[in-house]
Amino acid sequence: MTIEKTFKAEEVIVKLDGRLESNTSSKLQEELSPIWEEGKYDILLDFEELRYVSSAGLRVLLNTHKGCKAKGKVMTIKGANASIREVFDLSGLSGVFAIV
Amino acid sequence: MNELIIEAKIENIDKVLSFVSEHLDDCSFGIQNQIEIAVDELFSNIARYAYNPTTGGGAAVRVAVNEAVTIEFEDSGVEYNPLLKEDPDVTLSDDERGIGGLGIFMVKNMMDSVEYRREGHKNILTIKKNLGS
Repeated sequence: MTIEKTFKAEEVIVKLDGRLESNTSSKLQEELSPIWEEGKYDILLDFEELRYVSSAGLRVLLNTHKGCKAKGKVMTIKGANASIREVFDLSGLSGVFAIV
Repeated sequence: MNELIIEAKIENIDKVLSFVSEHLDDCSFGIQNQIEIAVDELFSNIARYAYNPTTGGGAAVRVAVNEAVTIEFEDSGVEYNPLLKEDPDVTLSDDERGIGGLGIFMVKNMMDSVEYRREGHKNILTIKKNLGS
């Protein structure tokens, strides 16, 4: 999986390409934690090129969502395909995450 | 069945996914993704919990494709039946939510059958996904 970050004034766009599974999710955690810890940016996750998310990936997403919220920021997910939406629905996280 | 014998560690998940996906050319994109998610959940469980982390151990992953895709995971670690794990409450608010138990819950929902058996000192978990479903 590749991770591409673009910093805007108040938002960081994070584009993922590949599979968000057990091995790659720790890499994403390392990239996202410093962003929400700083509390300066909203995070927009671009899933246009992401194939799927397993539970290890969900853990990072939930963690990031909570981290942003605690700092008064928002994590938004865009471009999620049907496989990713299925995982969000099954896990009950469709109603938790901001998905556009 | 085609078989991959591999050390049970998280870094090997790529190799396991590549091995399995070689057999999934005839599956739809959606089914391929469901199967790969299940493989990630089950192999990572073995990698994390089956063995003492300092000594480690091996796992076998077997795949057969006919009218269904059948995948078998075998390890010689501690006896563990993930199907006995209680389903998580997926209706909690974000503050109360964790991810514990969600992996096996998703596998049960996405596959057509998930079976566990203990054979001697081995854990064997078999998942099946009907093609065309």
